[in-house]
Amino acid sequence: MDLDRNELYRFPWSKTDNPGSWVEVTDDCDLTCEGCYRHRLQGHRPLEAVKEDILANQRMTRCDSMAIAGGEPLIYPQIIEVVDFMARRGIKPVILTNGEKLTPDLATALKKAGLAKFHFHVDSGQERPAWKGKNEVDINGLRQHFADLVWELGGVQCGFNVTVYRQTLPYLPGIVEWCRANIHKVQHISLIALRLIPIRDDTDYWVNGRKLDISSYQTRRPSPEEISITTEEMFGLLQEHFPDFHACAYLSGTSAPHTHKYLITTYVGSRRKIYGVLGAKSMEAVQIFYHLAKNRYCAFIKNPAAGKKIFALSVFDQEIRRAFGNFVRSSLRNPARLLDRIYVQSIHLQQPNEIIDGQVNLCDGCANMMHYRGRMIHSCRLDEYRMFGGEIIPAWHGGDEP
Amino acid sequence: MSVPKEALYRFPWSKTDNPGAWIEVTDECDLHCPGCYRHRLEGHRPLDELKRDVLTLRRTLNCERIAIAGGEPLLYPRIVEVVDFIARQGMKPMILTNGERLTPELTSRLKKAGLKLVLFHVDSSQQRPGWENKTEAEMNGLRQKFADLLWEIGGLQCGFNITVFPPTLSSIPDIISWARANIHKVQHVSLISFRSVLLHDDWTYEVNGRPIDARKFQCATAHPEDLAVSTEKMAEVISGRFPDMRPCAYLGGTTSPETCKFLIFLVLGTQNRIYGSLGPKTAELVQVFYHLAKGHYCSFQDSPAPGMKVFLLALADRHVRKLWSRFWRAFARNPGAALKKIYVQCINLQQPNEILNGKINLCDGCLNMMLHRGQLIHSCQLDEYRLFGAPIVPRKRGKEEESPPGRQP
Repeated sequence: MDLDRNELYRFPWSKTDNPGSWVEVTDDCDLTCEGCYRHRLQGHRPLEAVKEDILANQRMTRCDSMAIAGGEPLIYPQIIEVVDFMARRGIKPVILTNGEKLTPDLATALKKAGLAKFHFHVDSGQERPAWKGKNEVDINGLRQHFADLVWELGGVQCGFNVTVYRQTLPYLPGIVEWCRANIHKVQHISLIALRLIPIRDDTDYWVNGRKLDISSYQTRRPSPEEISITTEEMFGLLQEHFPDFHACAYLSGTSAPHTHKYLITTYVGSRRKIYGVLGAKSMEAVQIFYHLAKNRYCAFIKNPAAGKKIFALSVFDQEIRRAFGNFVRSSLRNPARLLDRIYVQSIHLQQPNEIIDGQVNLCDGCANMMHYRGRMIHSCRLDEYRMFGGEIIPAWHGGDEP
Repeated sequence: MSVPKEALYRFPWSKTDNPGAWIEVTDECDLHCPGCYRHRLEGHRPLDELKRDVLTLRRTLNCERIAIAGGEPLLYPRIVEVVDFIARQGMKPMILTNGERLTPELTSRLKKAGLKLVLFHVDSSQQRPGWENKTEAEMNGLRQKFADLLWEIGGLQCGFNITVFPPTLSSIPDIISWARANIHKVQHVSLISFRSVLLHDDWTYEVNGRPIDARKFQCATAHPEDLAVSTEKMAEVISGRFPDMRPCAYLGGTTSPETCKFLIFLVLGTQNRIYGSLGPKTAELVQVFYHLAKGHYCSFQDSPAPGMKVFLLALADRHVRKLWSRFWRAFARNPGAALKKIYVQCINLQQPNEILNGKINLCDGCLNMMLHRGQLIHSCQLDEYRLFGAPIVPRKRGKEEESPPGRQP
């Protein structure tokens, strides 16, 4: 899939001016997902240490929102206090959870503490007891359950994370189809390509000058096909099914700038119909005007029911002009649609940490950087620091060039 | 540093949306500067290859200006064609030169070909014939000569690169003071701290897992104190001497994000009087509206004389409000002098490629990325690729950079 960079906005995010950051409260979890790269080493972290990290993250990144991740954050006993601490400092707290422990009561308490968004990790690679043997489209049932729970609660946004495996790739359109039908309930979905270190006989792995037994980090030896899914491939597949699926913005790779590590499509529509997408200029306008006003970039807008005023962006954005045209035509046929609320929904395609040409290619402008022992690191590499004290560096010994 | 980073604007530049790019036409040079990190390996590069690089750079980086560097670009026989080619692609060509070969005739030809900016590397360490053992203040004489040469011809912006060594740190105010007096003639001053590879018993360097001989770097030094200049220290020296100067925007480091690798001051004034510095909101407004309108970020403005309309920025930038009131006070004293042309001068402090916390710390959002064999690299690392095939990795001997916590069962 060839994406035209001229038609995409490169987010203006950097390490020190970034809308997002990341804190982990525990590495315990009640599920064992296939693609998980977090090891159980420390259990729950002391609340004070978590608070210090939150403040350091805010100082270093000027973040607008912070992900509370793990492990499973909902089994962390002081989760309410973490959310409250963040919200009081003007950061939008987002919880990344598998949802197993989420009850309506807990959800209400989290909302009261200032939670801005739930991000449910739901996919078929999780071996959930009640959902064994189900495919990705079947699992939309579980997604619906969580989306309904948050919808009932009201005032908190709802998003999903889906790890994409080679065998589940064909189901992506089915997931997106479900999202489109739930645009009023679901604000966000991240489709994340499986990441694993490609363990090869012709490669050594080094940390701080020592050769590493890579099996102490990862035992599975993935086949090249398993870990070759790219955002471009996912994008191509989705565009085949949904001709209106046009991306507006991206982040590239640190060592391979031609890659799209993070690619965003933002739908505009009502619960009855998707009218179109935001274009690059709209995303640019959102980012820069938010920054001019608040001195930080925008992670997500507070009210996903953007309303019809969003069509005003038609002035300089062709994509929105097209969406507006669809809305007008549709309303002429059925004037009741004029009364429908208009929502936005973001579909994120992500390709984490991978090795290209012998170098580790990370998201340049990553929105999930975290504070770890006095420095900011990519959260996807946390366990390299926790287990070995530094980043794993691959080195080919098979020949001169990988 | 006197200015907290929270108060500065972080440029929105990245690897794929960046106003600047870099090409090198030759690695030959007619001077031997002590801070130079370019080795004579290949001589002049073929013109076709350069043109291909220019086109790829624009596609990859979305850049609007290309620095023509080297080596000494004016030694390159087809330099006018290079400038012409870049200008025809709608980009701004800029030459980095020591100026030794620059005649008024050549300047006119380069201008006609579309050159926008000449950045002269002039400092006391160069030991130029006729300028041996001079102080930085005395070197202002040579700077004046070059600034006058461009001023006579007109239509070309003029800038200076100065390598700053620990002994010359304290003479930065002499340079700035001269630049302020020449705000109408000089648009850019880059103060670049000396960079080197440290030869030390505790440190080894590797490429692709194999140790290398760091003595191959001509700029290598055995004295850690040579590397003591940082952008923060330079900023302190400047703000100490000129209280009206404060930085507005920066780039952080790739591995130590808290560092300022690139720190910029925008100074506003007339030939007679400096009003002070523009603030972070001005830097932000310029970048974002330029990008909305043109689809790429701004490396430098076409005209260094923005006129009175610059004071409109007072609506968004409280620092400009201060300058506005200074303007009126100056106007009350001497209306004629106050109504002279208003210029903006850009002073930037740079700290190239350094080793910090055991890692190579580069400019995150670097303006001077270049192509080497089709790969986009930081131009300051070019010779690591040319000499050893890849960037060098430092390693502290005997000690771990950071002791890992024990893995629990």
